[in-house]
Amino acid sequence: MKWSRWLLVFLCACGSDTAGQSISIGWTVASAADESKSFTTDTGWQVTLDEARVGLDSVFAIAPAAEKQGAVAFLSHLLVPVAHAHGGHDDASGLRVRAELLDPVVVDVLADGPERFGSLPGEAGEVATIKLELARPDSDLPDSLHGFQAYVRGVAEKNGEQVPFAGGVHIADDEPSRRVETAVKFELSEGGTLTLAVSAAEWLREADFDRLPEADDADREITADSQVGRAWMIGVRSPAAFEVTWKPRKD
Amino acid sequence: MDTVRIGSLVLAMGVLAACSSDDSAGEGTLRVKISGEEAAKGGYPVGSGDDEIAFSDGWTLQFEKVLVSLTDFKLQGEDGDDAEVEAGSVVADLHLGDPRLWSFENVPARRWDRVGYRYAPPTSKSKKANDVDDADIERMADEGYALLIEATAKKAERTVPIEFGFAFEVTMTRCENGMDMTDGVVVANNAVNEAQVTVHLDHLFFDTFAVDDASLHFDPMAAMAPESGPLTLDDLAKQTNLSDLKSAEGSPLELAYDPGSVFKPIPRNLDEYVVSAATTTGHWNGEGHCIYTRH
Repeated sequence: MKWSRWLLVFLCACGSDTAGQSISIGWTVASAADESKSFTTDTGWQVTLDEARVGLDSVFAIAPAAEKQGAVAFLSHLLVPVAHAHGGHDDASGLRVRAELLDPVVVDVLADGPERFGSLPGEAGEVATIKLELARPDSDLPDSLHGFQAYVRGVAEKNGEQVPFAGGVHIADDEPSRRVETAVKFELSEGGTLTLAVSAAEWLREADFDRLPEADDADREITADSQVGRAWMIGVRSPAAFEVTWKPRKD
Repeated sequence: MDTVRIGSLVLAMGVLAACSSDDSAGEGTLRVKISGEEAAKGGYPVGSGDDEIAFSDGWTLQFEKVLVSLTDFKLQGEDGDDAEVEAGSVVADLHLGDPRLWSFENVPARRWDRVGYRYAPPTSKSKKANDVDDADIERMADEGYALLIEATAKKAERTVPIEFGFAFEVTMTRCENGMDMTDGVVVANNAVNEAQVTVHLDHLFFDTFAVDDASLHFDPMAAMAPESGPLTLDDLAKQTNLSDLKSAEGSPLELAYDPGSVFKPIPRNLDEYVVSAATTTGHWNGEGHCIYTRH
């Protein structure tokens, strides 16, 4: 071990004094019902949704690449073993994970009110990326997802033509396929709340519903090889569909 | 803080102060070259068997120029150490070969686990790594291009000349070493150490960045080619729906380009998609990826 480099890191550490300290934060899914129940796509379809859900396997709050730890927290970690429920590094980027939600959840995008999922252990400090992993295909998905990792049902209308539709997406199990990253800039601190909002309008923004396979007296199915299926697959992994905000605790 | 912690703090501070000098492991030389691999010289398809890289829609492509302008090579440590190497702007044509970009003498011997560099347009001080035309460097500087690619794609009787100029700056940081997938590079004591910036040109034609098994397509690009003159990035902007790419006649190709979630800003047309793809072309020692930040 090169002690001189420990000293160098100590001298260079210049983050906030609380960075790296263990904290507890809240985790909430906000209602995006107003913008998701009814919207117009870029292709000119007026869409009204009756169902829109997505399964999430995990959520990670990741530190910026130029991670610098507060001097006090650095020495605390250096000298005293600290138990972390998180404290690891993201496999894909190697960057530090500040907080992580590892309990799978299903987000009802059309729910009228926010849903609070409890508290998470984490560490204080700057966050630059939120990484969401969509539900695994082999996980015990609830009936509300109809066997898919995300599901929608609704009606699209354009120039007097109405297209009732329904369907879900199957996403491969490997982590890159299920990963959605969205850029953020905030600093986690004790007692604050992370809030996720999901936009179904972004899921379907490029969908052209008259390209769905015909169906007699039934919803037209969103198949994976249809244009709507391709558009949704792009949309469901788009960072534009997931907005994460941070609200610090009011003192 | 209890007594034990205070005692540990005082002890450690003393040790830190006492041991902070003269642990040098010597010095070495680091030479950095650049390569676009065989594709830059011989085009696509390239390789054979399972290693073949080819367009899935039957096109072949030959590069005529692969001009890359780089600067700001960084050799740093996670511990905050910085080799402070002098790495000025240099322009290379990867179609002509694999030239050396920089050579650094008397670099402290150790693992430098924070390696990075930057794509940026040439300046008046840029040097030529190989036989690059002065007129091309001047054009890159005037247009703000960090990458300039000229190529010709062919399929059956059709020939499409290509000229893609990428006006951006991209910083590559925390590069993995493609030789062993460790971080950065080791500079060994009293040795000449070789390393390589590797440019993966196939990324420009990938149909997805959401999964690992991308295919190479050219039909959606060829569909936007003008009747005369080369196909440019401006032409690709006419493919406005990445989930619904069209033929030249406007009929669906039943193809999509999926940007995944890695690009900021989110590409909304094929021009923006290919520019985003180009930001990921820089690697380190073969397959080593970096963190890519577009400016």
